[in-house]
Amino acid sequence: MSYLDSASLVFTGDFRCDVSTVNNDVRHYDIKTFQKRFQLPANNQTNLMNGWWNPDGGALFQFINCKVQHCVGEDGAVDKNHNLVGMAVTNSGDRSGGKMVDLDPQMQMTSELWGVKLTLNNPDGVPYLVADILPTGFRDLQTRQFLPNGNANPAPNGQPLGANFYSVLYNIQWGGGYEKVPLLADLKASADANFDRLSLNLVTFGYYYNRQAARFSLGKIIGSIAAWDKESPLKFAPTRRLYGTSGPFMSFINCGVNEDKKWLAMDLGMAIPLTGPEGTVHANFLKMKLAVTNKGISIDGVTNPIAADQITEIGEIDIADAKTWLAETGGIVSFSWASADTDISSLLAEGQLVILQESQDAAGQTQLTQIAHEAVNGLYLRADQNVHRIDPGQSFDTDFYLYKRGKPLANRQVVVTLDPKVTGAGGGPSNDPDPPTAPIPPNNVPVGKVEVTSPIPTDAHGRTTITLTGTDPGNPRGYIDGQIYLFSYELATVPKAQLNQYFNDKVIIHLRDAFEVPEKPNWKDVRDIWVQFGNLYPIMSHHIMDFSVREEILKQRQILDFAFTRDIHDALYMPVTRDLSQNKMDTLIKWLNTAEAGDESDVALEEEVLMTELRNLDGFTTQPSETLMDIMTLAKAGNADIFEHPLFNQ
Amino acid sequence: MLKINRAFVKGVELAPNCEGLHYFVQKAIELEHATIPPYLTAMFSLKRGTNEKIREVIHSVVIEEMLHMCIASNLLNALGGAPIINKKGFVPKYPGPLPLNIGSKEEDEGIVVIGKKPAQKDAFIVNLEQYSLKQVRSTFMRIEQPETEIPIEDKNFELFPGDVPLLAAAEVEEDFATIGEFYAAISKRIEDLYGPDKRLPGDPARQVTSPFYKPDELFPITHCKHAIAAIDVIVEQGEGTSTSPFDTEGELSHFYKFMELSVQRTIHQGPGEDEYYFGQPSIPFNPKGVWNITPNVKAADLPEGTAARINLNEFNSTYTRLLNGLHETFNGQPDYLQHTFGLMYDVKLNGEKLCATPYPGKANQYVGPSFEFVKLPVQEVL
Repeated sequence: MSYLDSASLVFTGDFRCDVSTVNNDVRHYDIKTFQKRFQLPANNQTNLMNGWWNPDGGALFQFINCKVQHCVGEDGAVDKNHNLVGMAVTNSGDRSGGKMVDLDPQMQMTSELWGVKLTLNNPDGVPYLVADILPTGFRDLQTRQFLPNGNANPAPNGQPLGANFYSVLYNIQWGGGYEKVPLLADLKASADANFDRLSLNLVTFGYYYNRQAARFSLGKIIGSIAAWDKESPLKFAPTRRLYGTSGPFMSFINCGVNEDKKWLAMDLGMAIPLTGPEGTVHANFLKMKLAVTNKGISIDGVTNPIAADQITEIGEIDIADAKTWLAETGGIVSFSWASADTDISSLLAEGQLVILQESQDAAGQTQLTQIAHEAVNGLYLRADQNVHRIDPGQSFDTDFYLYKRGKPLANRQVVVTLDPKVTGAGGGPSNDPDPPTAPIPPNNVPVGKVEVTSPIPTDAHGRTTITLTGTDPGNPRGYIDGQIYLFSYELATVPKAQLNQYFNDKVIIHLRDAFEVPEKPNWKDVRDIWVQFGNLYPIMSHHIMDFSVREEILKQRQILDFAFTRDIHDALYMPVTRDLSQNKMDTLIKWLNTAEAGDESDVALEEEVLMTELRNLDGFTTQPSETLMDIMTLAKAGNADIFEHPLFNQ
Repeated sequence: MLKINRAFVKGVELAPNCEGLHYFVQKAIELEHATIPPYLTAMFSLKRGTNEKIREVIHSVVIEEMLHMCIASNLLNALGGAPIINKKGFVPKYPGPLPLNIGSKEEDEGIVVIGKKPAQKDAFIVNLEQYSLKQVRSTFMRIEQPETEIPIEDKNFELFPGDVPLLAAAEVEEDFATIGEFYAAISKRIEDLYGPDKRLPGDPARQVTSPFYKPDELFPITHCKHAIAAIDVIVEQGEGTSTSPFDTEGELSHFYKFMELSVQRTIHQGPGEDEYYFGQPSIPFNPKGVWNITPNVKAADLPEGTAARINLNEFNSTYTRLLNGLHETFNGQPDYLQHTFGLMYDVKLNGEKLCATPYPGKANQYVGPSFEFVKLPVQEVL
């Protein structure tokens, strides 16, 4: 069961996401080479990247202007006049919005939603339902904005890509007279039978990087809410998949088939090419046909044209108004063959779904060209919990699900392997005239630090599970905690290329360094952690407190202790990035609770730390007997440049 | 001096039972809240890295006004009432009079005026505007002015151009009462109705406490004696005592904190018991360290589709959600308070960002916050 083969509601609107970008460059984590300008926005004239496009971001994620556009019934019929149409979808009306955060600067390709609440409101603004979104990272990143000639169009927003977030809603509270809306009553009944969960698919595109635009840090969003089945994945939809046939168009399309009621729905919202961020459909994609291959026919995804007798048409996609279509439909199109003479169901059981377009050949005859197709083998293998934060000694499970034409495939062997060493991840563009000087650490090394159990063959639900256990990686990255490990997966008996995997279909792990919680943590134990956060998140140092100053932190110790002891799913959890190991968290918390304002031994320690760093400065020699004051005086007298050093700018 | 029509004091005195006090305590909650937007607007307008001491002083007052709002809400719950915090009328219109103030129209307050009807020219209008010495003197000090002002010696004290001198206590007309008198009347009426050791009728489970306030400042009000002690906290922190600008904890009351900002020097105890003087360290004000924000800006004033409008709408949404969260907190879910802290920080972050957001089409002018209670969700024209 998925959001595309059961009753659902579809909403569209905008979203705000003001992710912070100082942490987009891994080298900014090095407190020794950090410069004040890394907290300034990039300079587009000089290509100086500084702190990239949104250094002051607060990681907020929220829904704006989101309204239900239509509902899909049990029979697949789209109802644009449903009672829910026009109802607002919001975050919480009485607490903070959620966050969007990266796992790590060296893995930003699956930014996750954390602590996001979703509310569906009734006409009086009273919630029909309020729920938490289980944290999930985006997948199926694909180009959405194209120029007329088919090249990607980054203008005017600066980001031509879009991506998909899939998850479940949980902790669902019902109210507002939901029981009078049959669709909602059915969804509740389904949730009650399935661990109190519903499925949620979010498509995002048209995001604005451009600081000068009014829509800066806003994007477009499409959501689908439907039932969830307890035997299905939490973080991707168990659907059939179509893949773009030529060029960068429509890389991934989900499609769900309801065999009982004889209908299917396709999510063109996640893939259909657009002209720009406002969501106007590209002129080349206004008329399409959905078809299934006839018995005995297979289409390789290269061959064109397609002969009319190779396929059976399921329906047409005819977009009358390119500007409004996506906002009004969410790009969810459904087709029913309940009253058709053709036995589409049996064709779908064996055949491939194909999206076709009509064109004229050289002789003026109408021909069919495929633009997207389902794989010949119809296989879809994916890791469910694909993003993990692991401390040494901790274990986490990842489930894999395998489907063939949307149905679970049992008794197949999944193979999981660590990717080879990669270099250069998480740096900046090569045309930056003055890039950060810290080295970029490699990833996936040292090997042998994440133990992975061998998966057993898939079960009747197409599922198999591996357990990942971490051991101390030994601080391989130096200035940044832990290591990023990527594990690829495939089937033992099928060539990898035939799985049509998304490039980041990996199990992605941030394994943290071992760290002992000191008996009585002092400033020296915690200073580097605070300073790094202060560097990376100027929104804190510019508006709340300067993390590099011991006494300033202590002034706010109560609220910091509060934020550092929240549940990780709480929107107020600190650090927002959720990148500290438990022992480092515990050390900070312990220090917050035991440090005394003006503690002389701690102040002396701060001086010692400064002294050490000063002595390590290039081109600046000091004698062991010199005090901090001596060094400062020396610096003032003969080393004017030293004041450019971040030590003096903190 | 901030004057209340004596009718409100009379109303308290004549309340036949504790239900009769609900209206007045609700007004007290509204009043305590109503001081926060003008204080925060001034605080947000201070540029970061400048005027830090001034920011600290205003911040300390805001924290106590939030405490007073919590105390008044606890009091209303203790009296069996239910605070209303998330309705449009809860937030005053700026510019405009504060709740209970004589500037407000009596018919709006739903109360019969006893005695002389105040002249409209006396209306005390509060504006949301950037920090200035004028705003401190003509608004902040007037809001907080005590019944009895302790003289602070300062030979070098001079009025700044455009300053509005404070009204001397003697100028207060008989028909008007101070906030302190109003609270004193509530305190006395509760004691008359219940006696000092009696239990109050409210459900103790609705009482709100927080680790962020000291237990002798924010405590459950279940008995008459707690109500009296709680009211004392509000009055002392706001106006001080009649004998010292410092409260019993040694902290200056709000009026004198603002007086320090106004004179730009700190108040100290003199050699004699009742002697106080302005001295060092100074609290210099750097007028260049203030964003030139738009007084009493409203979201509807800003062109649709601009970042300024979107950001102001977001600020108002956050502020509205904060009031919604506080309403939940004080209406039977005391633990909900923890979920409002994030919104308080969001108000601060968004408020400061708005002060640095250029006003569309106006050179060297910035937007600033508007503290509007809005219908959620706000529909943006994007």
